Amino acid sequence: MRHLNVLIGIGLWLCSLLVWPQEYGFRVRHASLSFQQDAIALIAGITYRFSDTLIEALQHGVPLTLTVTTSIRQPRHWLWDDTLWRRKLNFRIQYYPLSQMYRVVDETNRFQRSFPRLETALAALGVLDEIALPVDEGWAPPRNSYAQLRVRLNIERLPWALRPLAYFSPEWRLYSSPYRWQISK
Amino acid sequence: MRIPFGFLVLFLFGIILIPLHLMSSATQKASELNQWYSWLLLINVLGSVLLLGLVGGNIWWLVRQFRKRTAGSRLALKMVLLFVILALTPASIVFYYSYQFLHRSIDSWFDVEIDRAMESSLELGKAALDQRMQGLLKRTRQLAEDLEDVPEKVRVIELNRLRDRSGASELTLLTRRGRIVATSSAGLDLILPSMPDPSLLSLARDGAYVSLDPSPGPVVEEKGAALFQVRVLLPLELEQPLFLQALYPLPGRINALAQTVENAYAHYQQMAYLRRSLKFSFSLTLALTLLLSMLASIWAAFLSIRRIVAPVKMLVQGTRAVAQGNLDSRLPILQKDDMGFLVSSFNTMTTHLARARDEAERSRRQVEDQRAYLETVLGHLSSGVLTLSDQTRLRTANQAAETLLGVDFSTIIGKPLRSLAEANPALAELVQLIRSRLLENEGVWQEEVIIKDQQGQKVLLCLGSPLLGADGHRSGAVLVFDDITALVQAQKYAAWSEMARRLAHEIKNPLTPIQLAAERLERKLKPQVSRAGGEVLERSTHTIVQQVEALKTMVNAFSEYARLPKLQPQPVAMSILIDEVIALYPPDSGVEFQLDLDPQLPVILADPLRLRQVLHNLIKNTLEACAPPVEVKISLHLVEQRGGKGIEWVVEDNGPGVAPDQVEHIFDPYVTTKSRGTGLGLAIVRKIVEEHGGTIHLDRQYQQGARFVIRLPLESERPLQKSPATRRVREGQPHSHNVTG
Repeated sequence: MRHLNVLIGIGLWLCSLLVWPQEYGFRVRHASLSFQQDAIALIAGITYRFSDTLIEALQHGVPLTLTVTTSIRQPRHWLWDDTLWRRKLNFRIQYYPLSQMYRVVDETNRFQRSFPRLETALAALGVLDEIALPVDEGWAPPRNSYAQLRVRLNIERLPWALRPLAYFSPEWRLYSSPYRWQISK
Repeated sequence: MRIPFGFLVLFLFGIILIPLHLMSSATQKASELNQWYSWLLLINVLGSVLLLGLVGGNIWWLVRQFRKRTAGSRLALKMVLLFVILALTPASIVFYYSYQFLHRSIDSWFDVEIDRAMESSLELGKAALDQRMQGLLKRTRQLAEDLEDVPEKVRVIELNRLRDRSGASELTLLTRRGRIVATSSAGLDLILPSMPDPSLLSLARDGAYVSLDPSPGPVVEEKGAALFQVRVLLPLELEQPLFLQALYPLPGRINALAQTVENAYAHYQQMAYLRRSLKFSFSLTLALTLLLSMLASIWAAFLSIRRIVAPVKMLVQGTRAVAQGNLDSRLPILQKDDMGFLVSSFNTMTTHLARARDEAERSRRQVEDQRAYLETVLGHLSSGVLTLSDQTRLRTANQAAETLLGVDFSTIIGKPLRSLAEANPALAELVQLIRSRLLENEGVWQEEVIIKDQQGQKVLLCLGSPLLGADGHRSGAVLVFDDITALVQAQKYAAWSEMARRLAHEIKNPLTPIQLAAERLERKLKPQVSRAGGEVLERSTHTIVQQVEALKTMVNAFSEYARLPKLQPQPVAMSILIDEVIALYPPDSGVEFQLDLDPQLPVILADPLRLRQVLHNLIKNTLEACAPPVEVKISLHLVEQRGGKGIEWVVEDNGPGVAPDQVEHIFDPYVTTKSRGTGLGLAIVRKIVEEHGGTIHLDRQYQQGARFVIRLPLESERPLQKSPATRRVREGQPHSHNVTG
């Protein structure tokens, strides 16, 4: 009886997640890869909606790192899909109180930009335009492979004291659903 | 090679301490382990779970042992509880005060004054920079006015001149959509100017935009590198609407100060925000450290206690085994300490006990063998052996004692001696004799006792002797009974036979001369005497001859009694034999027979002539004792008697019976209650019956006449004997030898 109550509770909680969508989260709107000689160019549009907790932390000077993971995978019948290629892009956003600016740093390419408003900073973060990802020269994905893009808040880049709480708080555990598309050369 | 237990425990604590120390180090801000904090935390949590499982397993084991009442479980439980209480109490106190100290320490980092100072320094910085930015805005407005007067073609050249004059690092003309019209930069490394974000252009559209802007472009992390610049955006109303963007570098000193203020403020804000998280994480680290240490200690305690309790458990099990009689188990000596010494002593003790037990067992077996030997000997003795306890209670009796005394001892063993008389009243005299002898406290004594029962009298030779214990004290008495009836009877027969032989020899020899002398006297004197005298002489002579004949007959009878012929045994059907005998007594003989003969009677091995004589004598005895008509009832049945099956042959009459004072002697020779007869009839009957291994007695309870009961054993139950008297005598000799020896 007790187990039944627990199961009913979990079911109701899952239903509530579906009926009342959370006001925060990440979503990959579109993404595409274009293959070049020794690199793959990533074009993607991502919507970032930070939770109040994240915004509060950001405005208190806590740097937040967003990790965009791009991978090319090959389906397998009886096992999980095989990852043929994967690259991670880290973007850090931090608030500067003196200048009252949000600075966005592309850690991969070590390039930074500043924005007076969070919305514009997040919008700028969400635009990945022709970002070159290195690949072995001449490498080409198999025919039946597909690409996948997902983004998450990198909890391991948070200050150590925040990590235990962040792992158990849904407001901190922000990530997008994997965005998949078939590769067309 | 065996690793010492202490080393193992130290190694275990070392293994546990390493991730704990690393996790503690990871909480330091400057530590390189900072990035591994989550993993270290996870490792320690898993370690705690593992230890919790080990401790839980040990607790479960202990609880099961305690419920089963296993040896040593109580001691183990007490030690565990004691250890946990002793360890938990100081640890809890330390944890509580550490927790309090930690929270207060973190709280002390943040103070209202510090908050205010940080806010003020930030505001001061902002104010100073604002003032500078306003000046730069004003300067840029002046540049814009100057630029509005410059023709479009020389505007680029003028832009360079104005940049040099204003001290800007970069001047750029942009369209309202953000496209570059013209630019002038002090640096040569940048190909493209620093482009403003489109959102800034929209902000600047209605007036001017000035900001302290972190330098865009490549990330520069060199210490002292200029971080801030002032960005001014102004709308221009030329032939087309444009934006003038001016970037001004801040002086190095101001830039450094601004960075210091901003970094310090940001760090303080960050710490203030992390205040709660810091408390939680530090408390978590502290709790995990305590938990891990406690669990490791408790586990080590369990291991130690199990090691300590193991010998105790073994000792308890060993003691139980010893209590159950298992003295062969030896306990392994696991430790070379006091417990090991105790186990070694226990092993020595059990060895000694086992040796003593083996010796006791050997002794017991010897005693048992002796007892069995004695039982066998006593059981097969024809002498009855009876033992009495110190309180004259019946202790043991052999089979012969039961037969001789006619008592079932199984019902009276353990009871007082008087129960013997209660079981068989005929033994009252014997019991009285034994009691008196025991009371007199004599040593070895011997006495003949006559027991009279329904089957006649029995002469017992009773030998008494005290039973002495190992310490020489009297612990009871032993009584040995021998039935010497046959011996006495045989002696009597022998005496009578000798007397008969002598009578025959001494009396019979002079009888013939007496008779011849009397006849000669009659023949010689008859012619010489008168008629009257002759008649007297004839009568006297006749009387002498007649009496001599009578004496001869008597002497012949004695001679016959003394020299009965040897038995000629052959299979005899008793029913036929009886029919043949009674056929000699026709109805006019004055005897009426009633027969009750069992048709299933087996054939017995006997001398038919002698058995006929037995029946003849009994019938003759009846006829001599009774006036006709006489009723004689003869019955023949198979009976179970002690020693096997037999035939009970009963001859009873309706005569006057036997006077009580004659009952004891009617089977003796020369004893008769009748006016006729030699007094040898019943004596011969008894002799013949005993020669056949049987018994004969007069039923004293039969009041309607005389009732003789003869019991003959079946042939399969006895060996044929030449002469019962001889047999009895021969058996009697070893008995008397036993008694006296």
